[in-house]
Amino acid sequence: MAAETMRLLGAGARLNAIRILRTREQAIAHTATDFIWHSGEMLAPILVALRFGHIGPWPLAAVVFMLAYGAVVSSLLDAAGDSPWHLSQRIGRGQLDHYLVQPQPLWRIMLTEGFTPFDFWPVLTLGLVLMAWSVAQLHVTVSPGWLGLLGINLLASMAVQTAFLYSWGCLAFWAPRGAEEVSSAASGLIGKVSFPLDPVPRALRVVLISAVPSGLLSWLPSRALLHVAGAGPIDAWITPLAAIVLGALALFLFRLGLREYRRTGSRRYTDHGHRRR
Amino acid sequence: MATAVVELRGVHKSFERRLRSGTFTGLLRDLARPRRETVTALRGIDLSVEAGEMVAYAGPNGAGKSTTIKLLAGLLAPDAGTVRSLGADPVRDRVRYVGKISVVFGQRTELWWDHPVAATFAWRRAVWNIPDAVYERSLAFARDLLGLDLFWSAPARELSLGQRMRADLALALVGEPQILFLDEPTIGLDVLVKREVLEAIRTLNRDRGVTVMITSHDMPDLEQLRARIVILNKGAIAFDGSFEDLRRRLGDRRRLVLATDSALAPTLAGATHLGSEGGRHEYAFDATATPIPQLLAAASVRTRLMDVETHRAPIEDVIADLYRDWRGA
Repeated sequence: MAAETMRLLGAGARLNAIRILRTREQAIAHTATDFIWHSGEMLAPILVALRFGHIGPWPLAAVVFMLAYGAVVSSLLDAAGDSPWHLSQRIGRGQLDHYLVQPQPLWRIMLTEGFTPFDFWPVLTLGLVLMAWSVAQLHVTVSPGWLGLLGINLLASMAVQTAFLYSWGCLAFWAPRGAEEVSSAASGLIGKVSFPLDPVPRALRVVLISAVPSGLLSWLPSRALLHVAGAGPIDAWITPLAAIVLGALALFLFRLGLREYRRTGSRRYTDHGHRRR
Repeated sequence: MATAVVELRGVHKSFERRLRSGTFTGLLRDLARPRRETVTALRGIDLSVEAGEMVAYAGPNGAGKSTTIKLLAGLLAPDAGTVRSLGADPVRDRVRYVGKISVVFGQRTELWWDHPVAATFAWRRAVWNIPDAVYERSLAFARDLLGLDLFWSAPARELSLGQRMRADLALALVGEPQILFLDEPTIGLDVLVKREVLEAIRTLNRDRGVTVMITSHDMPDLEQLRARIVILNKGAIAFDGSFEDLRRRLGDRRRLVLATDSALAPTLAGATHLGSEGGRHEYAFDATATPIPQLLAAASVRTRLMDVETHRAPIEDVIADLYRDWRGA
């Protein structure tokens, strides 16, 4: 099963390489713009932390860690495929048919199609370098246990975002036209958190780690991993737990929706957005 | 003994459609109390297709052709009845089943838009897990049959519609599927490309024994394939047989063209005057009801004949009459 998934990821990587390496100029421009764009995104909170030395209880290095964590999550998610961002379009436009005629389980198709490892390595590298720098600055004891917890939280943050986008995207099963763009709207809603959420009112903070779980994409896991603002060891398991709950919800909705799709099909096939990556 | 590879038994499929009003008050009323109607796409279809057969699936718009193809491709589940293909339930055994078939939808492409045609073929090889020897053999056959070499390295978005369809059809052949489902594969193609595509489908069926099920509105295309024809009407099979049987059943519809020295068309009992151009007059008639010698004898009494032509009515005229009859029924 894992070998088959790796083989398909390899096929996706080849397609990605063909697209990126079309010309030397394109390869350089593509990589440089990605790097500049994501560095720019991180700059504002870093400058604020530099000016004041901290943001609330977060020292500069911890702010950098949080931003680096967010960059790693988003780059890995982007590289893993584009189905969460375009699920409602695929369903609403009848393009799920393209998945269903492939002799692979749906989960594997969605996990591997659109795999773009060469698109996001600059951001991933930037995130990992900044993460290593901040860990050194904060004198965090990097034990195998801590690294394991970091890995689990990174995967959990990715799963939270994917599950959130899938849950909303599934609306298109029942309202193909009305909810066609709901995945893009949901991705705007759960965008990266650029500043620590500690100063935010408690009620809003609860919303941001439950109904709209932006806080689980970098803030809460970083807070737990770095023990900022009195975070205890139990906090490091909130994001994995949320990932399980949201993942189960997304799976339930997707299966329910797929049953509806098998019953009604799609009568508005449009090729826009199909296989553009 | 021939083996049935496709079996539909008592298949029903209907869809719900939401009705909408055109007026503002109507829209408000529809919001409060939505109105729906049920559209029956298939009502109790029984159909068997044997291995190596070529079946043309025809019918007016909304007859249920594409619904049948979607049921057989595992994209839809029937409301009632059973669908079996290659011994499998297309929905329940999807992963195992779709590896043995190929589906081509004329209005959609499986090609990766921004990539060279070759890249999509490599991708298909990976996803379909096609063994090397089978891939090389089927690719060589498909490339040669459909002439892909000219645009093998071109990005899909730069292909003409005809090239795209040839590439999509070739892609479907890679891996040597046992059944090929083609939904309107010639839609929008020019005459020359259409002929090439149809010839490729015929070669595939005749020389390779691939079972083909094809839908089209284009009756001359389907007749050119010399396929068994199944005609649907309002979700039920209205005809199942050969094109010859169909023509026989609908009468031996023919055309008669008389070249005379007069611009005035003679009136012939048992024939309908279709039009005149100078001294050339064209008639439609049923040769079983009105024999040709009888018509010619009548014509020669009324005018001076210079030349006579007779030929079968185009198949689309035959089918158009049939559809008209159904609509009136």
